[in-house]
Amino acid sequence: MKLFSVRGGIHPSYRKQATTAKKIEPLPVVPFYFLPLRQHSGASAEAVVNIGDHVGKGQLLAAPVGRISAPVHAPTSGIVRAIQNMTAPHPSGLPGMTIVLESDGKDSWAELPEAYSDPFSVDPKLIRERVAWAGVVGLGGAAFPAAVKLEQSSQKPIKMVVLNGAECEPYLTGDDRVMQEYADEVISGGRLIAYAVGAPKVVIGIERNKPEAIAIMKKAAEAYDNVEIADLPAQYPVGSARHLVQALTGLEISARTRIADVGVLVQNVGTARAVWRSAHYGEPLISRIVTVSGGGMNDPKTLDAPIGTPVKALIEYCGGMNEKAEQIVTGGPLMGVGLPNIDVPVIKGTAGILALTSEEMDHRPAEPCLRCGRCVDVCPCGLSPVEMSSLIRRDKLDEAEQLQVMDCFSCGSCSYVCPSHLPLVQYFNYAKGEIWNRRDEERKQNKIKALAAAKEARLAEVLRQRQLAAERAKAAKAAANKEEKAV
Amino acid sequence: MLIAIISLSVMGLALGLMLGLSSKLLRVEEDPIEGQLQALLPGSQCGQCGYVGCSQYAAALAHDGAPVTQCTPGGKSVAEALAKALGVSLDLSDAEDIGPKTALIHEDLCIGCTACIRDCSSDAIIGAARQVHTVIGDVCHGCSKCETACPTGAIEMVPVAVTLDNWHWDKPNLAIQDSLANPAFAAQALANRITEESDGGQGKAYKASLEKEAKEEAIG
Ligand code: SF4
Ligand code: SF4
Ligand code: SF4
Ligand code: SF4
Repeated sequence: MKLFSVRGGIHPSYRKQATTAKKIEPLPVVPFYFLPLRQHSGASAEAVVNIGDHVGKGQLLAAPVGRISAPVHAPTSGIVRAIQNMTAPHPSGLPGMTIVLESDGKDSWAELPEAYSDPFSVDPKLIRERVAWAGVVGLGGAAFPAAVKLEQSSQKPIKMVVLNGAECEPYLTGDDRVMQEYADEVISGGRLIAYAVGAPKVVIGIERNKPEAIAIMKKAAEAYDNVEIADLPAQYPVGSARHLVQALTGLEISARTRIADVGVLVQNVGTARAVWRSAHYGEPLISRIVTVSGGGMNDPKTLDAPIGTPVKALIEYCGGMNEKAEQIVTGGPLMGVGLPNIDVPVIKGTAGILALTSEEMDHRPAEPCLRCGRCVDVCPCGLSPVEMSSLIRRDKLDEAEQLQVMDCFSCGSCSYVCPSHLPLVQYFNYAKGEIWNRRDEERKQNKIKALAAAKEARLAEVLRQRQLAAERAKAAKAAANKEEKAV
Repeated sequence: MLIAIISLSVMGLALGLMLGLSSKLLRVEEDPIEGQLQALLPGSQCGQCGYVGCSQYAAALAHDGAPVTQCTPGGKSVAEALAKALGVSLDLSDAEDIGPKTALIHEDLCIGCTACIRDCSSDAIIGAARQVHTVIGDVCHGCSKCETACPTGAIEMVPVAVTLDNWHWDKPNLAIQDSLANPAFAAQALANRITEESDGGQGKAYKASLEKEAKEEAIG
């Protein structure tokens, strides 16, 4: 397959050898599971169970609310012990509503919907509904509800379904292992997604640093003429959906255009597998593949972890952390974020848990910018990190916005290469959050202005009516007086 | 011909004179800057800025150099818009203290007198007579008129809470050098934990090998 070049990017050391050859191991049942109602992008789900309810494995615990949302299901059988605010697996350490499930140790399934033995004979609409029911979200990390993407894409002419198996973040090997061990399920899932949105072909992009996965997937794809494996150059961040599409089609997609608008639908390989399982077995998304690695981890592994399992249980299963471990990160080392503690649960978007040592991180203090321009060279979005960061440092957010800081997707390439160790992506994360909040604030102000104006108008109208009434009364009285006089 | 020229120029002159006169006589006494500033203010006439209402504050801003950070409900975004319109620089450290607030009704104290509803400038309170009243957070802009109106002290103005929805990373502070010594900055730095230098040069070696490969391909 012909590939197109993508601008910028970096070539970090991949550090995947600790887990890449180890089989995925299922995590045993633990006593308690913690299920945040918001594990996906969009609105929080709403609990549909009560404290004390006994639930089966796979039973619906929380239903989606609104257009962009996803349900949450029970990862094992047990009793709902609490529905309360608990620390979220989020760098802020802020609380979020969470269902606490005490396992009964039986791990027995609830009644599941019909398993479609041949999903390709079912109406595509039913497949899309099944994916929505199953609560499948993008497992690459963004956790966007898969069903919403399918629904949007089904209304557009989709030329190509792209499965993202690039996995370009260092350390992570979950997608690699899934492709090696479940190649058939991944390919079936890709074909099913194409079927659900009426797309003619499936392309699976895999970085060249995963030769085993490429070989196995190529073999599994031989049976289908409309499934193709593309081996991508190992270049971070080619696993970003927009850049992956660019590498495969040559189309550059701006941050403000939807990928579906150019006729492409991108899903992660793990997501494709979850889509397949939801249709073929009637299974909801209740577990995910998590890479547990980093220099601070005693025995790094790739695990199949039920969603809701405390991070601590994963770390213990991997032999615990050694004394060099300094920081726990969820996700990869370039785009991942820190966890407030290790009692928080694995959620649908948790691709990795890394215990990093100080040698694996950079703690050197920032020095003045050398104006070397390397950050500009590597930015895959064609932005100018050096200029944007100096504007943000001086609180000139408006000007940074004009330089399109909102198009930055926080890949961290600029910070990675900066010889002065400037916290570039950190400036952009701050600026994007602040600008979003201000836009929200402005929207709210406009709404309030309209409401205040409406209220004033209403009061004025009441006043006018009162005056009118008073005048009328006066006139009536005058008329009555006249009559009296006349009599 | 001559008649046409004369009559047209007379007409032109007369009309021009009329226009000139009318613009003098019928002039509306409105300062454009003042109007522009007023449009930026919330318009709820709450008086928290220390003036009678929004238009008086706008006038003071335009003519008396009143500070742009006086509008509490407007918060940072209004302060910034005002500063931009006036072309003055804004010290946000000032605006930080005015932080957004929202009204909270303590239900055990509310007697359902509806006094707050009557005063609320943006219809943010719901409730019927003799029933407990509540505030709709999304439309309350913290003008605190209801707080003054409530006869039982049931209304408290509380700062708008930081939640998972509106949280964002802090601005990096270059003065704090050791990221691990400061937990706030440690979290900051986490968005990116490895750099080319801490990577032991492996990345560079890999890149060089790629370039070599490409060259060989080109030759072959
Ligand atoms: S890479 Fe760093 S030092 Fe070089 S121009 Fe960018 S910000 Fe400045
Ligand atoms: S973090 Fe943003 S600015 Fe930096 S390289 Fe990535 S996209 Fe460009
Ligand atoms: S609820 Fe109170 S503080 Fe909020 S807008 Fe209404 S009157 Fe102002
Ligand atoms: S003014 Fe106070 S007591 Fe009266 S309805 Fe409002 S909150 Fe309740």
